[in-house]
Amino acid sequence: MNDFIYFFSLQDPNIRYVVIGVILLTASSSIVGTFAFLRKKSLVGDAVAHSVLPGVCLAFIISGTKNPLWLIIGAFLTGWLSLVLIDYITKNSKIKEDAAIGLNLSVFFGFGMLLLTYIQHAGNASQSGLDHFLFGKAAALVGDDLLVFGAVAILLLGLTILFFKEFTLISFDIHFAQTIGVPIKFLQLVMTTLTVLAVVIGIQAVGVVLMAAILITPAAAARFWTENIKVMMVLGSVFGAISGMAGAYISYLAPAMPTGPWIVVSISSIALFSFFFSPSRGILSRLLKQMKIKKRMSEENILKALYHMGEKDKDFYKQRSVASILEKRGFQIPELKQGLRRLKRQGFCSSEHSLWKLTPEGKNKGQRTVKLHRLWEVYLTKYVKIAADHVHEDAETIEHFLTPELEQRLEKLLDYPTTDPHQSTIPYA
Amino acid sequence: MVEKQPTPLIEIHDLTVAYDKKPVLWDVDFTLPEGKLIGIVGPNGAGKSTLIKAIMGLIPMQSGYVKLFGQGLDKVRDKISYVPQRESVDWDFPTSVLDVVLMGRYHKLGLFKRPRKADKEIAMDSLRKVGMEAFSKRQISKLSGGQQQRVFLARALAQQAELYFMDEPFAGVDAATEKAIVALLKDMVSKNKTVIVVHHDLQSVRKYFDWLLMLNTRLVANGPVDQVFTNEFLEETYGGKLTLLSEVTELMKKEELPNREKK
Amino acid sequence: MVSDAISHSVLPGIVIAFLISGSRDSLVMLIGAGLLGLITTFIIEFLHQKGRLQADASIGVTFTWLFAIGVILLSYFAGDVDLDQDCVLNGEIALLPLDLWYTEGGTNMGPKTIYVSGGITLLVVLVIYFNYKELLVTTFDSGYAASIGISIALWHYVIMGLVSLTTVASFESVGAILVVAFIIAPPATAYLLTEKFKTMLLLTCALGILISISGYYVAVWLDGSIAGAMSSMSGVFFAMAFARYRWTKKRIT
Repeated sequence: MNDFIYFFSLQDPNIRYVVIGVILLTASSSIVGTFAFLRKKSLVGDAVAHSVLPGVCLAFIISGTKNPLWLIIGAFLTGWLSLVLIDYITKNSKIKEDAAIGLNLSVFFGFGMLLLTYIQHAGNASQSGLDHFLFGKAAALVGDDLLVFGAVAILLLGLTILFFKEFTLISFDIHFAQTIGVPIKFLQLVMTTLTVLAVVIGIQAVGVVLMAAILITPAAAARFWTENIKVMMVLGSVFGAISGMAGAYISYLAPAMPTGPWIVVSISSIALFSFFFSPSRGILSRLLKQMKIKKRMSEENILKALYHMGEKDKDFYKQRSVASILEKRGFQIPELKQGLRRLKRQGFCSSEHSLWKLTPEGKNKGQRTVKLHRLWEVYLTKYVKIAADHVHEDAETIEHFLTPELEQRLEKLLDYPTTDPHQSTIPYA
Repeated sequence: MVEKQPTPLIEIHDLTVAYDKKPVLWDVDFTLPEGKLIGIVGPNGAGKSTLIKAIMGLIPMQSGYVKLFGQGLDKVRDKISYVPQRESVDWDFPTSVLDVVLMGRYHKLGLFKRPRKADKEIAMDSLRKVGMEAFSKRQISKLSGGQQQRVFLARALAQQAELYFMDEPFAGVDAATEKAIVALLKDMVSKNKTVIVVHHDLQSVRKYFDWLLMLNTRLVANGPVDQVFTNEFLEETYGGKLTLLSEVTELMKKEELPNREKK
Repeated sequence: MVSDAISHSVLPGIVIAFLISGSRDSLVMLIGAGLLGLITTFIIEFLHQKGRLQADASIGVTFTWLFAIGVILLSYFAGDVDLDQDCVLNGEIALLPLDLWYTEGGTNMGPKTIYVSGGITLLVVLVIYFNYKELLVTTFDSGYAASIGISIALWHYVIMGLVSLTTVASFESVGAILVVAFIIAPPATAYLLTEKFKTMLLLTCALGILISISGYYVAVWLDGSIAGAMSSMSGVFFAMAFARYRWTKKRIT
């Protein structure tokens, strides 16, 4: 607990640098990442991250110093060049975008490795530290780094706010943007530049491979919680910042632990949690919804079967055994038994000595389902001109989904028909 | 004295467009009048969408020129509105109906500026015209196909243009929406706007349009519906007479022949 | 891009396999990594299909996540593991001849890796040779393939399984990222040069050999990373093919 307080009170300047640094990085990259995500260009960040390496090495070879400004300029140039090349290759040949990305990424990175090893073997003593660009050095951020990060973060944020309207427009509908004369080439250039900038500084915290995660994963996670692009951006950068802090804290507690990968594991955990548990889009909530629908459908099918039997015997309230219902319609036995119990609880059925019968409410509900089924069959044969022997399957599903409003429209359109295509009577209440 | 001819609203001269060597439009030449509801029909792959995309400068032309209001596209963008096919965008984008319609005001706003109250009123008004004002706050991912099309239409209305290009606005919409859209388009035309619609349902051509452009890689007919919507032209557009042309274009693709001598 | 993802995300598999078996025995690592490769493909598909996450993002999220776990495992067991990040990323092809395989009699059979890679090459060639038409039809027109009863999922996983195996086999020599250069660059280059699927396969192999040899000499000349030089050369070959492609196209128009 003391560690926790000490860490988050930020009294220690080293901790302060690291925490503020990673927050600036993760939060600002996730803002840029939101647009990359929405434009379905998630992997572009990965390509840039790998492509900055030759730039860093070239800058070092040419300038002979490790001045971060030189290195950042070098990184920026090759990162940017690689994006332009990806675009050029995709537009001017039959190579698809993902192949072009993979190609550029690996070739640039390979060239970077060649240069890096060349520098190392050339025995230049001051080269140590270039490999920070490979694996990141979040735990070793110092005051000077913060100045650079801060400046870049402010630049990213400022430009995003300034161009927010246009960025949104071209992410949503680029053709329309072009027709109203928005300078899309220019804006794409700005977007590319922002991505490269975010990568160039972010890479120093988490390294080449994991950079794609802090660009994309926060946006992907945020997308599952909101339908509003502004909220999505804020949420994404909050997620980014939280995982940045978590990563820094973990590597503070266990110094052998690398910060970058822990940042990525934290943000991935947030993302996976969102994918599964988000109330509106999550996998779980959708599964629950499907299960509910399935339950409702089988309940309605049971009522329908009971109604059909009643129709045949001209007695809707006769007591019936499970076996006789199964004869009428092939339910799974547990499905049928559980369904009957649920129907009893809802008051649509009653039971005595394991014999079941409809209540008046149950009869009405079964009748409505039967009615919808038959109405739909009439509609399909009459208006869609589907043969009478083909309409049953279709109506089996539709009968569970027609709303009262559609029901009314259907009745009116068909002018209250009395029989369905199979000459069964359509029951009106 | 020579009587001065009025400048045609749209003038297309010798337009040729090719995708990957295969010509999609070939030597298309026509002018269109003002204040009409104009349909573009033709079989699948006849180049209908390509034609309006080329006019809007979205795809490069191999040859020819386009003049709108007697001028180049860049000079008159403010007076033109384009409604892309509904499927061309990702409707899962996290934004609201009103925000999409407001995009129709962006060209008047310019860079950096945010939409003002007046713009919002225009947008709401446009939504009202397509019967979607109740949905202004709705997220676009929650709309039905017909509602999506209405939103696109509202965005076009918000542009307050003179000339509208619409790519298959009736594709995948319900009958009620189609009826409502047609009524709206007729109303726009009565206010001397010009609306050009890519259409694929021949049944409704007579009912909907005043003027018709029949297309199958080349221009087959162009004129008032009564005059050009004839069996003869239909046969020419949809019938087998053009198989030779399509065979030749296939051949050109295969052989990578030049489709035009470079001067 | 899935191959890129796999080449990164096999890392935890390799580390775990190493921890369990306690050896750098290639076969165990191959199994561990191969499994992780298939798991990766599965997670990507799962997030995309069931989670409705767009394809590019599900790839990006999955491989960075697994790679991060791999790096953490590596550093946690840093003391026990005779592997390091550098080696994983870059490989060291120059050290291969040192890892020799001696028979019980003490006969020198040459570097181990050659056998492993050779075995995998043989496997890949055999799979392609015997399943050529299934691979062709599922790659070209998956809808049609499904309609005539060829399982798309099965062949997808077969291809991905092969990709994981190749990746793992090569990663010791060239590292995780540069594997991607070898998987993508030769076919992409060949694709620009020919339209026939068979010619493309053969051309790809020829290019692979050419890239390796020329890359090796460049590395010797510069005294730099062999893998890096090889992937730089693959870029050079691609650029030449691309220039030819553009030039022939221009001449026609």
